[in-house]
Parts: sequence; C-alpha cells; structure tokens
Amino acid sequence: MAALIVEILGRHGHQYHKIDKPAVRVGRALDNDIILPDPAVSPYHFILRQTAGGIYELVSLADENGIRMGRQRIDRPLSLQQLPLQFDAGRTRVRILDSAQPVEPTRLISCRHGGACLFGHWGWALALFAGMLMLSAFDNYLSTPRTLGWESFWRDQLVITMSAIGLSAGLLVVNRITSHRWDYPSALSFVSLMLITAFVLDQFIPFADYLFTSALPGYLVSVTWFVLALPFALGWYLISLNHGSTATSILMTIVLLTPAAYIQLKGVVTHYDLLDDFSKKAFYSQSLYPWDKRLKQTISIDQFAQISAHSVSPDMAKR
Amino acid sequence: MPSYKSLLLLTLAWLLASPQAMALDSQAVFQRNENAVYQVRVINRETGEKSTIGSGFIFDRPNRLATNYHVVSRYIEKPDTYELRYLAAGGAEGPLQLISVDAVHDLALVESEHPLGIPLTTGAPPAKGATLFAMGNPLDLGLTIAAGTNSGVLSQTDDSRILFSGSLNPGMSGGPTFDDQGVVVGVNVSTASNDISFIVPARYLQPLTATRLASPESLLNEIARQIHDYQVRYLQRINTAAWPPTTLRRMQVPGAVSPTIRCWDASPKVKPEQLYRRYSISCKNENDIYLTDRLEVGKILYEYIWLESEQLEALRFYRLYRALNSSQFSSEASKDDVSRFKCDTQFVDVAGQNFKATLCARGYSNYPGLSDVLFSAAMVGNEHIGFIFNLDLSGTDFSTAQQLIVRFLREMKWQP
Repeated sequence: MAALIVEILGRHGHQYHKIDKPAVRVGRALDNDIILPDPAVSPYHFILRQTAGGIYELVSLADENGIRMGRQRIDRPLSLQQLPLQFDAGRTRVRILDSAQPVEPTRLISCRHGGACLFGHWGWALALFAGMLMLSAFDNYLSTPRTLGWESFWRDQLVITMSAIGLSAGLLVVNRITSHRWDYPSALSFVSLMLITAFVLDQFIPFADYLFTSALPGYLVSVTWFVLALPFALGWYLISLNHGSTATSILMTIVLLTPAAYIQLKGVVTHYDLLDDFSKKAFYSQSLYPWDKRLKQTISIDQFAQISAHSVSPDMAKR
Repeated sequence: MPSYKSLLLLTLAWLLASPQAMALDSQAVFQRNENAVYQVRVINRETGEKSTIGSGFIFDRPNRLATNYHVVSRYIEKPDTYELRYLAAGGAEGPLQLISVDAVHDLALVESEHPLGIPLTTGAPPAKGATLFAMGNPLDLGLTIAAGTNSGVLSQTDDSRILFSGSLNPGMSGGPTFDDQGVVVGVNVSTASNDISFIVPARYLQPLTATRLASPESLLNEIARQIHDYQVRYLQRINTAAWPPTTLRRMQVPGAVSPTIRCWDASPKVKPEQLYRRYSISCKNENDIYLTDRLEVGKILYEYIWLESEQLEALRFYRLYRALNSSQFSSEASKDDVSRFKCDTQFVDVAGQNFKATLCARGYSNYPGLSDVLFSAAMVGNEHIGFIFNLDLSGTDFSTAQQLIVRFLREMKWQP
C-alpha cells in the first residue's frame, strides 16, 4: 500500500504531511506529530494508527468539537480503506490522500506550450493590460468626433483603467476562494484579455450587421460570447489553470455571469419576439460602415417598394 | 311730413334696437346661452365618479348635444367601463347616448332621453379680428365665458381649425364658440399655450346629423374608416401636388410638401471643437388627429440630416454617422393598441447614390386599416459624407404612405 498523506487545507495554502510511522497524533499541543494551530482543535484531536492488517484507521481523541464528516460526528474508529477522505477537525479541513493519487497537470508558464504563459508572468500581464488600454484609447478616440481634450480623454481612460483593476481584484478574490491562492498576474491577464476580446467584438458586430444587413449575426456572436465563451473561459481559468475546486468554480462562474448572459438572451428574445413580448421599438439593421462591403445588392426604388410592401404590410404585422 | 333728419334718426334708432345688428358683449352672450351649455361627463361605472369632463351645447334637436370626440373617447374605447352623463348649470343631470362621431374633426353628438332646451343657431365664423366668446366648464369650476378674437382659419390644419386668440382651459372642450351676434361659429377643441387656442368650424357639425351609429360595436370600425378615408384623401392630395424643392448641401430634397406642413431648420448649434458639420431640416404637419389618450394619428414628420467632415477618419466619421442612424417612432401606443413593428431593410439606388433603406410598419389592434409607418434611409459609400432621410406617418393607410415614400425618394436629386 502506498503511503498516506495528510493534507491540511488552510487559508494561506495547504500543508502536506507524509504518514511514515504506525501512529501519528494530530492536535494543537506542541508534542503532536502534526500541529494544527486552530483554537477549535483539541490539544490531542485525533490519531491515525495502523491496524494489524496494515490498514490505517482514524480515531477521534477530542471530547469538545470532535471530528465531523458533513453533519455526522465520528466517534468510533474509522477505517481508511476508501481514499481520499475529507473531514473537519474543529474548524480545520483535513484530507487523507493516497500518495499514489494522480495530481493535476502542471500549470505551464512557458510559452513553448501554447498561450498559458500569458497568465504566468507579470510581464505578460502588464503587456496585456497595456494592450487593453491602448485598444480602449483607440475606441475612445473613434467615439470622439471633436478635438480631443486631454481632460475628458484621460477621464474616460481612467474609468476603464479603474474598471479593469476592479474586475481583476474581483477575479483575484474569486480565484482565492476556489483555489486558496492569490495569483495577481493571472487575474490581470485574464481580465485584460477578456476586455480586449470585448473591444474587438465591439468593432466586429457592427461590421457583421452591415455585411449581412441583419442584426442576427451580431446577436449570435454576442450571445455566444456571453453565454458560452465567457463562462467557458472563466471556468477554464479557475479550474484548469489555477486548479480551483470544480464545484466552487462552476458555482462562482454561474453566479458571476448569469446576469450578463440573461441580459443578452433577453435582448435576442425581445428582438425576435420569441416570447411574443411587445416592444415599442422598431428593430432593424441600423449599422453603417465606411467600407461598403455587403452581401445584399443595390435595388431600384420600385423593387424596394415591391419587396417591402410584401414583407411589412400591416396586415402581416398586425397581431 | 317728417323731415329727412327725423327719418335718419328713426332709422338709426331702429338699427341700434335690432338684435341682428347689435353686437353683444360677453355678459349678454353668457346670459342668453347659459342654459344651453352643459357639462359632459364620462363616469366610471364602478366608482360612480367622473373620469373625464368636457362641455357640450344643444344642437340640432332639443335633446341633442354637440361636443368633442376626445371628450367621449374614453367611453368609446371602453363602453363597459364608462358611461356618459350630462350636468346642467342648474344641477340637473342625466344619461347620454352617443349618436355619431367625426373623429377627423374631433366632433361627436350625444342625446338625452329628455329635452334639454332650445338648440343653438350655428353659422359661419366672422371676419378675422372679430370678437369671439367661448363657453365651457374649465376644470370643473362651473360654466364660464372667455372672450377672444378670431385669428383666422389655419391652413396648416387643413382648414379644420380656427385660431382663437383667447384662453381655453381643460374642461371647455366641446363647448360652443359664439360670434358677437350670439351665433355658434365653432366648437372649442384645444389649446397650445396662453391665448393660443383652437376651435372647429361649426360647419363640420351638420354632416353628423345625417348619420347615426348602427351599433356601439361598429363604432371603432366607423372611426377607423373615417380616419382611413381622410388619410387616403390627404396623402393622395399631397402626392399629386407639385412639391417645392429645397437643397441641403449636395442633395436636393422636397421641402414642405403640403400647406399643412411646416419645415424648420433643426441644425444643432456648432461648437468650435467639433470636427464635423451637421445640418438638418425637420418638417411636420399640424393636423394630427386625437384618437385615444395614447394615440394621435395623421402625423407626418420627416427630417433630412446632412453630415460631413474632412478631418475625421472614415472609421471615426462612421461611428458618429452610425449613432445618428437610429430613427425610432415616437408614440405612446401600448401593447393593447398596436402590434410590433415589422421591418425590411434593403440597399436602394436613390438619385444615383446607394442608400440603406428601411421600411417598418405596425397595425392598429382596434382600428382596422390604420398603421404606423417608419421609413429611414441613410446614404452609404462615402467616407466623409452622410445623408439621412427619416419619415414617420402615424395612423395612416400603408399603401398610400408607401406611395408617398416612393415619391420622396424619386424627388431627391444628387448635385455633384
């Protein structure tokens, strides 16, 4: 049988202790084999001891807070045949692992293996952040049809900068909750990359609207982004990249992105009257693009009258 | 034998004594007609309280009152919820029955089961500048009279409104407007601001006496037919007339296409830091028709927007141009009134230029044949020039509106 590992899940990272003797005592007292600095842990809280058959068992020594697995208190010796085993000693979460248990794939920080390095170094994080700010500045420039005033320009830039930093801080906390690690550069990289994608899509969607003379492609891209791509990216970031808890990561992804996805879906549902929802607005392709690239050909006024009479006559529009 | 001097004096005395020739003052007009003017009330059947009030006067028959369509429109819309009643100056009241309506001119006739008094005499409006007296029940404060002057028939309202330079207030709608002989020359209808009020010429009342509603159920159809027919006539008259052109930079466009339409410069104020120039002309008619609290129909509103810049790069220019290309239909209509807009967008050759043109329409739920139409066309293919034409028509006939749009597009001329 492979050796056992005691994993202490702490706020400041996890501790791992290999069990290499027949009995290992754990508690708050300083003469224990493994010391848990938790006031809710008894001086001698539990012991892991090897039985005659060579199997270890978990024995509670604590009268006060004891050992709990979920809501169940463990008072009798528990054989450690099925691993991993997770329980709470006081307020400390402990896992017993088999040392042969496979671990998560190594997090790559080298650019020789794909783009994972983007999330591994401060250099990349700052480069992406700077790139995002440049794109934002360009977008700001395009949206300002007047002489650029430094004051207003920097005010707008400050808003996006603070927003990006705020989102990065939020992601940092989420990542801390799911993986128990503070990872500053990866949070900044991820947020910068997502904002860069959003700026690019913001350029692409009007172009698609004009190209197809329809808002549908833009909506599809937008919905795909909010409902599929962004949750997938966030899930990948939390689970695969940072080895966060799968359940907590999925829960956080759902909680954080559901409102945005809902708004996007609602826009599509309203636009295409999917739930017969009334709208005062006239929805039509309003996009204009400087380079006149489109799939629809130019028609004559008479042809337009003929086509539109058929497609939008009020008898057809009437409920 | 009497002397010529005596004869002259006698003639003068007779003329002064004759009621036909003697100009009445407001006190005399009021005293003579106060028993012929009533308050018309729309009562909520559930609460028994008035929901809308207006005025009315005895017309054509002793038991018949003339009033405004908009005074009784809430009852027309929901006859199961509301009922019509009159209230006399003396406090007497009773039920009223709707007899006929002219939604186009905002008139209605209602009848009581019992005689209400002697019908008032109607006549043509006096000359411009003559004194007029409007009677009614403003703000439920009791019967009042307001003096003013006839400021003439408004051509921009299709001759269906007289400008009354006097004060009309809510509750006076449907009341009579008298000339200085005590003859009803119009019906109070609306006000724009202080001492700018409008009355409907009394001549539009007479045709109402010849019709009687077959059934309350057919009322909405009848109103829809009236407005539809009027709209078709109105738009066809515009469509067959010659249109004065006007020029907006390099595009020659139709100006005010009807005497009922007024055009204004709507160019925004130029700011020194702007890197573009924007010019705009906005035109609209004034003879929109009240249909319900939320629907005013018969509106024609169109605008031309010209945008140009040598300093903005194409992407930057089009960001601005795209933001301007966002025409929406202005209306208070709700889900109960209209369907959703259905739109079609095509690229159309207008005056040798490519336009991205959209036509949208929505039908009226309770008024068959009427629809709101939105048209918007933006010139494309020029990196530094933009031109947008927007046209809205409310409560109109779709086919006739489409003919009007086609005419607009044909009338545009590009001036290289």
